[in-house]
Amino acid sequence: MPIIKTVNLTKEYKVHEKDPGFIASVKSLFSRKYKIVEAVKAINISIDEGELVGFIGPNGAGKTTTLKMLSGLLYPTNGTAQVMGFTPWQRRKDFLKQFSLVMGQKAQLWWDLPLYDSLLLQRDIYEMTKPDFQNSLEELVEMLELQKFLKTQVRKLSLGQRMRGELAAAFIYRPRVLFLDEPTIGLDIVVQKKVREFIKGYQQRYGATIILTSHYLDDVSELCDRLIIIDHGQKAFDGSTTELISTHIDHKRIVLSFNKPVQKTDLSTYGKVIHYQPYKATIQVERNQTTGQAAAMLTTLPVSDVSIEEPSLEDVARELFTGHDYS
Amino acid sequence: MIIRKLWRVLALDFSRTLQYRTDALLWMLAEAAIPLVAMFIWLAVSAGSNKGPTGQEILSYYVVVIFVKLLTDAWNGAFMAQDILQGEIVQDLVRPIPVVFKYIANNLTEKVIKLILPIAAIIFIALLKPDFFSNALLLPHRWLLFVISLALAMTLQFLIDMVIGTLAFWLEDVNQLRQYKEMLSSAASGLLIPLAFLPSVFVTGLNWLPFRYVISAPAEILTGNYVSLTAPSLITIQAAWVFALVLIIRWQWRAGLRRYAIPGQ
Ligand SMILES: Nc1ncnc2c1ncn2[C@@H]1O[C@H](COP(=O)(O)OP(=O)(O)OP(=O)(O)O)[C@@H](O)[C@H]1O
Ligand SMILES: [Mg+2]
Repeated sequence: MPIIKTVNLTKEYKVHEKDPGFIASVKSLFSRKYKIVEAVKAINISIDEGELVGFIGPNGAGKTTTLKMLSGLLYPTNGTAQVMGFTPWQRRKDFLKQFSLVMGQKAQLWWDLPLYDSLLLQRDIYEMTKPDFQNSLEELVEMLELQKFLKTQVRKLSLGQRMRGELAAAFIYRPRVLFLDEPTIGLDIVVQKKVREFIKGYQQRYGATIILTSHYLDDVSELCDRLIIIDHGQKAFDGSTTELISTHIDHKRIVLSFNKPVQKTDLSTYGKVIHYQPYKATIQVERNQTTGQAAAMLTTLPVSDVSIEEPSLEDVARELFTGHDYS
Repeated sequence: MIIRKLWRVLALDFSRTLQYRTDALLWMLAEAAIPLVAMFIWLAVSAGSNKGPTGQEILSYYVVVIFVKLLTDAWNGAFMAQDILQGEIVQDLVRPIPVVFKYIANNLTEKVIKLILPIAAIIFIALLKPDFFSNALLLPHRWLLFVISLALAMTLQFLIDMVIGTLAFWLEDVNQLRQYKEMLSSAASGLLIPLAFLPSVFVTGLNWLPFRYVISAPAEILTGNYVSLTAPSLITIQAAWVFALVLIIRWQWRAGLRRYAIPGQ
């Protein structure tokens, strides 16, 4: 039994179009022009308890819209969704108590008060016992390094501190299902890494089910066992990172160093030259011909060093989203 | 459990609002200013004629009205509209707590803070000049009815504002509407013009609007100077309005959330 399941989940936004200017404003009072934006088109997803799934896709792909429907914030135009056996948009109390949503800077925290006060509020709202709260708090303080600013007014925190505070508020009641919309946006590398480790640690310790979206592919490849690519409101891929690379990229790259200068034309007979310098070059060849071509080059060219590389997730994403070759 | 949640939100909102105590003082003064000015005008009017309410009746009426006004004022509609239009309401929609709690808490703390000064002023005057207020203000059974009526008036005003705030699911400029409501309410609630000064046709008309049940009703009950309706009918109609508005708001929220496309993000 999947913990999250959608069937043909669809969302159309009705966008009110108006030309600029006063006359147009008056006109639009009488005849409103609408444009329909199909943000999510019949998406089918099935996620089991304990999975950590990454949603990736270009801007405007429909990731946030999907998460909003799964959180019960938006009514779908069509289709159904079940999360922990509930229909999210009925917003039943038992559903709300067990799930958590982190949406960038849309904050759970009260800005005028210290982080600690907001956490106390969470304790009461989610009906936690004092010992449970204390345990959870200590764990979060340690994992997210909150000690230094736990009692500081939230508006005085830096972006990274606030985001960690946000995560603390979202995780303190130990939710079973979490939707994290770009949890690492705007964070520096060190904090990003910390946040990633925290998310992974939580999922492993409590067997939580987590969907996260991110534009940092590092996030996704490091954290997620499974990727769902959404593009133009549709599911473009669903599987593991390695599957994605092997099914979507039918070539590899051979990186060569030479001990004598080599002509570019000599290289292009083996494959597509991605990068060329007289002593160094990268050549792209078809996946199933990699070893053959590498061997051929080793015998004919003055090769001093060779390595074969998988394209990075970054390359794959670029190729998928633009429909072009990643070179 | 639910009480504890509300209590926590209240406590937090109280400590939040305390940081804005200077602002709170200014709101209080701004809101008390209009009835104060009206009081002086009507005192002058009554001094120049021997019909209608006496000076002391007007004074008692307005002392009560200023209290009722400070206690019943509600801004929740403006906050609600802003939260809806900017998508901030999301954070409350995903939590297992009624969305309205935040606004109730905010409304109640504001009342407490605004009352500090006027209460101090009254105690001061009462000690200094005990016969300043009419003795009629001190009857216990009136106080009982007054408290009931005041509680209903606070609820009613909160709900009226909520009806307007919730319209933000459909409209982009709810604040304009709120201002019209404020104007109509000042004119029709007994704040600017005590109902006792109005011709009875007008009063009959105003009986059909909710506003007089917010300001005039509790004041009439405490002062004992009724205009066209007496305590039992005033309280019954207040309760009926509360009931009707709750139904309207429930419907509004259901319909509103159904079509709500959260802005931002
Ligand atoms: N409140 C809204 N009203 C109207 N259209 C919207 C609204 N929110 C999103 N859209 C549109 O729906 C589409 C999907 O948006 P969505 O926010 O789901 O994308 P996303 O995948 O989260 O993008 P990003 O990576 O930029 O966050 C976009 O075309 C967007 O313009
Ligand atoms: Mg998004």
